[in-house]
Amino acid sequence: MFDQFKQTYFEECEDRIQEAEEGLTVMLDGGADDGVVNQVFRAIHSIKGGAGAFGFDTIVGFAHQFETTLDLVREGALSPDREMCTLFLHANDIVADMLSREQNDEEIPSDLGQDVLAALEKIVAGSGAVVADPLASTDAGNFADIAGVKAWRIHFMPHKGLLKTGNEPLFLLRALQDLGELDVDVDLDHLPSFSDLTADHVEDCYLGWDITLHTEAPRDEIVEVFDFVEDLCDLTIEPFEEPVDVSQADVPVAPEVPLVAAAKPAKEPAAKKAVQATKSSGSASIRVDLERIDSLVNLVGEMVIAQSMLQEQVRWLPIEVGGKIGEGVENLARHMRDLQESVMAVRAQPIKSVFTRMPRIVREVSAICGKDIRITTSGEETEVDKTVLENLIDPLTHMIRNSVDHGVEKPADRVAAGKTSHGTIHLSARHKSGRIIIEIEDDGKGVNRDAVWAKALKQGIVTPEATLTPHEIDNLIFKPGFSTAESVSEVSGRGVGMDVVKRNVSDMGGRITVSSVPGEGCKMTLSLPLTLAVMDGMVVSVGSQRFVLPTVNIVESFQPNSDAISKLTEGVNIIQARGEYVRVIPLCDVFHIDDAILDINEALLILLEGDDGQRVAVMVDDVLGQQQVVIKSLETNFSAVDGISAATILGNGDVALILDVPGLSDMRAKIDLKQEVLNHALSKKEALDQGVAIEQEEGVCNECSD
Amino acid sequence: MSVQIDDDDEVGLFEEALADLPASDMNANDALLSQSVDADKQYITFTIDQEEYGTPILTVQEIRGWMKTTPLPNMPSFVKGVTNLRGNIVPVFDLRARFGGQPTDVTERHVVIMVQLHNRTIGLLVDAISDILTIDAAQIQPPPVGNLMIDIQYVDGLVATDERMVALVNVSKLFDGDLVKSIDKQGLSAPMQEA
Repeated sequence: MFDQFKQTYFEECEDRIQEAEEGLTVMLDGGADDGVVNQVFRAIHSIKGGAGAFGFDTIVGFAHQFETTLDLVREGALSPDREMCTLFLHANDIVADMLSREQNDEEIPSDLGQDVLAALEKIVAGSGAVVADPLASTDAGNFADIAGVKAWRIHFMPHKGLLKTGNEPLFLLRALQDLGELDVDVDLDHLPSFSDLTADHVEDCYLGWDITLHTEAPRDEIVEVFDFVEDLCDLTIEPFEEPVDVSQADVPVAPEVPLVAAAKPAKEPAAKKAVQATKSSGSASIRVDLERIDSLVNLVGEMVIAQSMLQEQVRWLPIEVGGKIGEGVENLARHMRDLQESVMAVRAQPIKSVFTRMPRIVREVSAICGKDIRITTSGEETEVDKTVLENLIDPLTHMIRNSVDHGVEKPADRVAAGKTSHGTIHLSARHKSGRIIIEIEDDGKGVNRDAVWAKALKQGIVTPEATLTPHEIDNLIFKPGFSTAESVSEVSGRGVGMDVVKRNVSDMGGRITVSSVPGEGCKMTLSLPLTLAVMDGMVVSVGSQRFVLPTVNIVESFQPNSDAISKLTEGVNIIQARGEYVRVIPLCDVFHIDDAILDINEALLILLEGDDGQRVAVMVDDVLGQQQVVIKSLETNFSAVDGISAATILGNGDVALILDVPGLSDMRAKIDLKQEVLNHALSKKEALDQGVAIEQEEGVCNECSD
Repeated sequence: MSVQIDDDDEVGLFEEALADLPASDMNANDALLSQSVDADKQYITFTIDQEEYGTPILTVQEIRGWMKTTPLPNMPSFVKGVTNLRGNIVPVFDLRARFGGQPTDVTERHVVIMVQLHNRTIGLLVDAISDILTIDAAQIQPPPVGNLMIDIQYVDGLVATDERMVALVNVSKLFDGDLVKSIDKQGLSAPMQEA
């Protein structure tokens, strides 16, 4: 039970920390009014309150000092400059760190935040304000603002005749007392003046009670107490949500020493605002365990499969029977789609929760690097699936670090280059054709192409003869084993490079590209699917196998006209489609399927466009149909497979593989080579025969094997 | 003694296998259901060609007749493909090929053992299920060098019972976490015994 409260507390703290951070960022930019300062103060105060209840003394001590300082700002005794705001932000980070340690049951290092604490103390001391005992405000009374422990506001106004029926209000109040802590105010409004009281009134009840009940009991249990008097009184029972400030101001449950003696009058308006805020946000949403939503999503997934099975079966029915059923199934399919979209919408969350983590990273990393960097964001409201969101944190963090560490120059260098001394990183998100596009744009020096090229040569990622466009060179930084950091720095030299970012992103079915203008800056673009659960796909056949192509990638499918085909080298065809020359990728070739149509003139081509705009045409035997497919990862029980992004289950129960469109285009050469290595691995004898060939290609194999 | 499976009916497989077992081993059935104290001493044995192998019963999730698999492209021959196990995508490995033999020519009589391994479920294609044995640690002997089809680093030990010899296979070593990577890395010699 207690653990559950703790969990809720930590969840709420996460929101509080974010609120505080947002507010502080506004303050940092000088745009703060009282409301903003109050917001920050309230956030920190709530954290402190809960921490006290759970006995997190280190957090209480730190948060209290922080809060005290903020309170002085609120009163106007302090006017924060940029430096002070930065300190506050830092203090906020430290509270977040402490919380996460408590959450993971780790010990908080005794020196964590001590420097900040000292700085805060100095600020307070400098302002000359009188400060109360730091721990005074943290008794168990604050328990009330933790969800799960609730307070109810009960107005109980018996009708005149209540006493005549043998009911006794005192018993009711005692029954309530059994449920929790009680705070009762008597309501004398209806009491006639003494002179009006006569013997006739002796059995009448004129008193009413305003009761605040602190209890975990559900509303029903409270209603039960009043079961027998239901018709004999006016009764209202409302949830009483008390922000910390209010609990101290209005409800004398837990009398408190005011935090800062001088602050008392200033608190009242803040408290009122807090009430409004809580009320408006409290009713509109509920917290639901993610597991429940996940099981809902899984169920819908299974239904999508069952429905496509039905659809397939209906096709074989004679028309007189199948017609009506088919109609029904079509209807079902439509509803399924709506249902699935609604369920996905439940999981969708604004990307804000990830974006708000980034300013802290920029602050910390730029402090280490001795740079002055501001971060701006846009499109925070863009919604994306919770799982995508969670998987996004690591790659995004790494990319931001990278921008700070390698992208933006030091202030002196920037000034020398004729730029402002502070660099800017802009983080944006938007929706584009069923995907979410995230861009990280900095105004730094851009990718150093010469260095990248030299490094790629050294690492054997490219051959000296290769001719690459500038864009292609920039994108070499995502190749495995590539890291541009010249010296191993604290920031990005952790043995992981952009290739890890790329892999994380690919695992989610996403793409990442970089475009850069030397001297002006660099833009990294991430494209991710909105959901990892379901997508529209086209089922195609290649020989006896069936594959699914993501519909978003499909431009058109066509029977190739032999005039449009030109042979580049043996086995490599180029086709002219929509005025563009695109490479043909025969699936039977890259996947080594031997019972497929091999002649390009008899096959079907499907023109596909990757997220980077690159087009390829895949050669298949036939198109079987279009349907919604549930994405099932191959990595749950196996591992990633080249050219395949995931698997799905078709209507007949068979597994079909979903093609990874952009991954396909650079697969061919790789695969021939890999197959050779594998053959080699599996038959030593065979390998000995091929020994010479393998040795020659060994150098290239390394690159291909990941 | 070996029990062949007639169709891809998963139900009743154990019963069929157990019907042929000596009475003393019949409590194996109870152990399966209730995971009694001795369950960790029990092994399911299966055959590939003429050789008999065993794996701890507690890692076995279920046993099924051969199910259609969808081949995965560009995989070594021991990766049979993936199959649909009640909505989960589960890979099926050809154990004979993994041991360095020829890929199995699958018929309906072949059996797939579904094994739990590091939170993953994988299927092992074998010729037939043969027995359920209770084996004390003392009965397990270290594997001799050079007598088996399989490289001894994948064998936890040997057990001799009733004139038969059972090699206890270390499945988790055979199929460790990141399989494809391990294929690439160990590339040239992974599953085979050095000649």
